[in-house]
Amino acid sequence: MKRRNFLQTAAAFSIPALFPVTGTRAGASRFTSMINPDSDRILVIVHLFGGNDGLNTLIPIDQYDDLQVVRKEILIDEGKILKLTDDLGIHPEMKDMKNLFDDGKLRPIQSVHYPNHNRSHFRSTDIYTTGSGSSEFLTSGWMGRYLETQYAGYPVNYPSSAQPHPPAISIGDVAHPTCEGTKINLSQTVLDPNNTRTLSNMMAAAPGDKYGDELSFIRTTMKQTNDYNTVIKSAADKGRNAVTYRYRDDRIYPQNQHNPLAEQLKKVARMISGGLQTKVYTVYMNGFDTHAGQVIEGNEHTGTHAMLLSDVSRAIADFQADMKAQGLEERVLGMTFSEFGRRIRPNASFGTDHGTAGPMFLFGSCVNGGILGDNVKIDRNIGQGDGVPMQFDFRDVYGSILVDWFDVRSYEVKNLLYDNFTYLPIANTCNEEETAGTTDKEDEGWVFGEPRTNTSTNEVSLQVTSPGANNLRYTLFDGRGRMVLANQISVDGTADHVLFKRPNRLPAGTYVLRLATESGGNLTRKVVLN
Amino acid sequence: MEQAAHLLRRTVYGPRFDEIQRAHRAGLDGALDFILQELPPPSPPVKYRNDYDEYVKLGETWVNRSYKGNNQYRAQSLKGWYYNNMVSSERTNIQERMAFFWLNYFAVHGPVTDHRAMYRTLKLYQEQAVGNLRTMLQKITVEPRMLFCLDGHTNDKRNPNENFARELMELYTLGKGPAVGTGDYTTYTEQDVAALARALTGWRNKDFLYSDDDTPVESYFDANAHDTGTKQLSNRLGNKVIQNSGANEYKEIIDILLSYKAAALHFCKRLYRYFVYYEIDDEVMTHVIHPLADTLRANNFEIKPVLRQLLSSEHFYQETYRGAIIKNPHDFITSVLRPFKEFEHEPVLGLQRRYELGDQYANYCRDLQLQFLEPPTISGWKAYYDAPQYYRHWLSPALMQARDKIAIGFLLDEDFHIKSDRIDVNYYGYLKGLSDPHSVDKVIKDTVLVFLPRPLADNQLNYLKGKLLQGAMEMEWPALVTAYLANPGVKEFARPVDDRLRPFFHALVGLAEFQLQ
Repeated sequence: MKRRNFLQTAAAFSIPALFPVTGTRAGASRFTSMINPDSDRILVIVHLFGGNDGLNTLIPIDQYDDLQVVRKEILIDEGKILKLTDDLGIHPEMKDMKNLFDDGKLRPIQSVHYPNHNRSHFRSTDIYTTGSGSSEFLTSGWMGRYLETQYAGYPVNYPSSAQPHPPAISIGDVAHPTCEGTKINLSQTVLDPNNTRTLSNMMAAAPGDKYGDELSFIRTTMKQTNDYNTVIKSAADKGRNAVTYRYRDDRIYPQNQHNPLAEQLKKVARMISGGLQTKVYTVYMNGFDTHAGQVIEGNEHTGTHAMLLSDVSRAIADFQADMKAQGLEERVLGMTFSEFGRRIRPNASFGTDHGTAGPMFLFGSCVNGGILGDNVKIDRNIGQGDGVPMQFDFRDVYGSILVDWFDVRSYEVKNLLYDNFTYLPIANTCNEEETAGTTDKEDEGWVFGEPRTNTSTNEVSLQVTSPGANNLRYTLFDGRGRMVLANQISVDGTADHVLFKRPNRLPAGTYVLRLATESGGNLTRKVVLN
Repeated sequence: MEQAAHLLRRTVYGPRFDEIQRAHRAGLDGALDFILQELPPPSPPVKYRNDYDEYVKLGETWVNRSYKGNNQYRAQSLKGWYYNNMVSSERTNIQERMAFFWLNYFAVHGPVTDHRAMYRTLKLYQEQAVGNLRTMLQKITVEPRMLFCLDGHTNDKRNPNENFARELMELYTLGKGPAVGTGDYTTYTEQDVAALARALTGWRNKDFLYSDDDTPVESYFDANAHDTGTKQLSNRLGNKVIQNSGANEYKEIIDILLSYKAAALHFCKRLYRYFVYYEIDDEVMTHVIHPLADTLRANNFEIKPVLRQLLSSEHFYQETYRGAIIKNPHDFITSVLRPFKEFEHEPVLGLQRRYELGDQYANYCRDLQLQFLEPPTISGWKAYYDAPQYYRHWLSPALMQARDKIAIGFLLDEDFHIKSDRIDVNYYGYLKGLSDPHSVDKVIKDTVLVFLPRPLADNQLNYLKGKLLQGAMEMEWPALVTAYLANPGVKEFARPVDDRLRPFFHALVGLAEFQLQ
């Protein structure tokens, strides 16, 4: 089943993607809403804190000889590495994730980072959670900014009857900084969704002074907390887990130990299963700062890192199996990130120090199969301080998730993340194909000519044939995909229409004009303004 | 009593009942005498566990010792020390509240985490708690951590760095006025930023960072890196010219900046937002901020007269402002614990557990979005500058739950423990110190005075009374308390009272009102 999602894939030449228009949507919304409001898609963010050693996670087998030169002390035996392809392997403890890969449900992205790396855990985590550049200081999180476009004015008047559930949920005590909004964090913290914390509802009239104002604010916040906790608990009580989440692997851990990541994902699954409409969940795992004892000498496939990756792999696979068993697979996408990779050369303690780029993993049944990116090239002459060079900007991964998964337009992604956003195909296999790319969508009875620019008056006009009296929406984008002009005209039958006169603020050049009909047609035309 | 309690809640972390009584007896002037008294800073943090740092003895301070040994405990030591100063201080004094005012005012942050350097800055804030603004600005300008934070240590005549010069005017003295022309912010201009940057060139840090040798945590002036040319200021700063005066030039700059009333106004606004309320309208500006700024200038930038004027003003005691500040995480934690004298009766709180407990408080405050060693930006915490939310930045559904959990689920929980040692707040000492522990109504009345900013409504009082009695008859209370007070530490007599006080306090700190001061 292909899920309805109205998505485009790439924005070729930074031409903005098409409006989400189909015949089934209500009239007004397609003209006002850039984003699919009835999407029931969910993103699960797995934060691996500490800086995961990417080179022992996703191992470039084609570089094995060189790896032996530069990181022999911690390199895993070639025979033990699990092969994803002939050239690329995965850590021996990640068998479950290899199986997901074989099923086309795991999308490894190689060497993700940002330019001008910062090797502080905290600063780099800030960069990864805010989605900023390395010299830019943002206080809001990238997901928080996106969610604010979906929950306008949050937290005032939430929960509402239209949006009764929290925008995001962070498993744990701390609202994840990824969900920090410009005013307030949009995630509700949940330790145990079946056992939530109820705040006092003991109240009395608030006086009509400054004290009373603050008191009312606090009471509203407390009420919101309780309201959200009520829907969370009700969803979790109604929801279920369809598979047993395994204990930690007792080959490498003591018996009957809970897998802490699996325990968190299990709760997430329960809330999703119970119908909670929350869009984003964050889970968190610590311990990846493997300066010492990352591997055990002589048995490099064992040690701290192997134990961590085993937990990750088993937890993600169990979660995925749970989603599949409950028929929820196509609604849920997962993403792992860590604030940096580690250095190529190990240190003297069988560990690795803070490095640069590392892999990210996307998981779910809607991910594009295969590996994104080239293997890390190992130079035998690298210095002790060198990390893996960056191949993909992490903001391109985030932005592409917004495009593929939440139907955000590329120009909007640029606002939310950065101007140089480049789309990467990562999770678009469940999206409708007919609206992919910049292909036009026909609408019966409509015919559009080519736009003409009158060189003396600077007016742009267009011949339109409309099946009766209709409105036609047009939007103009500049070469960087920014919307510069939008309006709507009335059309009836066949006629020439002057759409607009080039405003002085717009420089001469090539623009993209997008036209959208009320009944779901759309197309783009090139316009040259001079 | 209400006035005394209001004064203490705003100036002392978590005031106790006996302190409120003392302030009440002393009267306003007398109370301000001890609240504003200059005190030496607390003794420095020490090595609190034996398994680290063979070069420092247990109980000895590390703040002037090299990084030769294994020093990983120093971060915990520094944090534990800082929170213990607040939570378990015996002093009824404004020092720690003002120290955090300064910490937020300068908001030094950034990658350098040499603990000795951090301690140095914290000590400066404590020493100058009610000191002199001019002295403070002079010291902070060449303070090692500030030089790192705003790039002063790389500010060189060949390549002047404007970072500190800009913040010195925008955040620490004049404040940024409306932009009325290109690079003209009314109170100063870009020309002044460039000129001040040049005047501040030459300050360097000694190579002390995490050093194994005894290089002291100090800055010094390198004349070779200093721009000796004359610096022309804009008309906003009287077209003044700064001539080269080498290592003393920064003091001259500060004198120039402080000669403008804008600097005093800016500072007094920051004080007002910290001690009274976030909103400053024209009336407050005219009748409060301007007079305070005049006092500051008339007293050569001594801060104490300004605080005295503010804290003894009718304005400060107006009903509307009482309880109108949302507690920051420090206020919150200390207001839960300090009225009880925390856990001071617990014998397990030896040196190591004491520090570990303080470090745990630091972690709680971090979870509540206040990491005192890492202000979010150079502007400090949003609660004190970001309109229109101001103090409301401290609260959200997530943070409300976290506060509730920290107060009720941890600190006041029967099973609260530090490491493996269970500790319980000092209910006994608390109850004993009240005006009449045998009277249920008096216990509630005193407690509301200590813990809440205003009296409660009847339905709330009845609710609390129900929690305290737990189904018992009110007439049973006096006998329970008599036995309790006569037999300290005897479980049989302690339980009936402690088991009633616990849900009573859980209900009390769970009230929305408890978030306010």
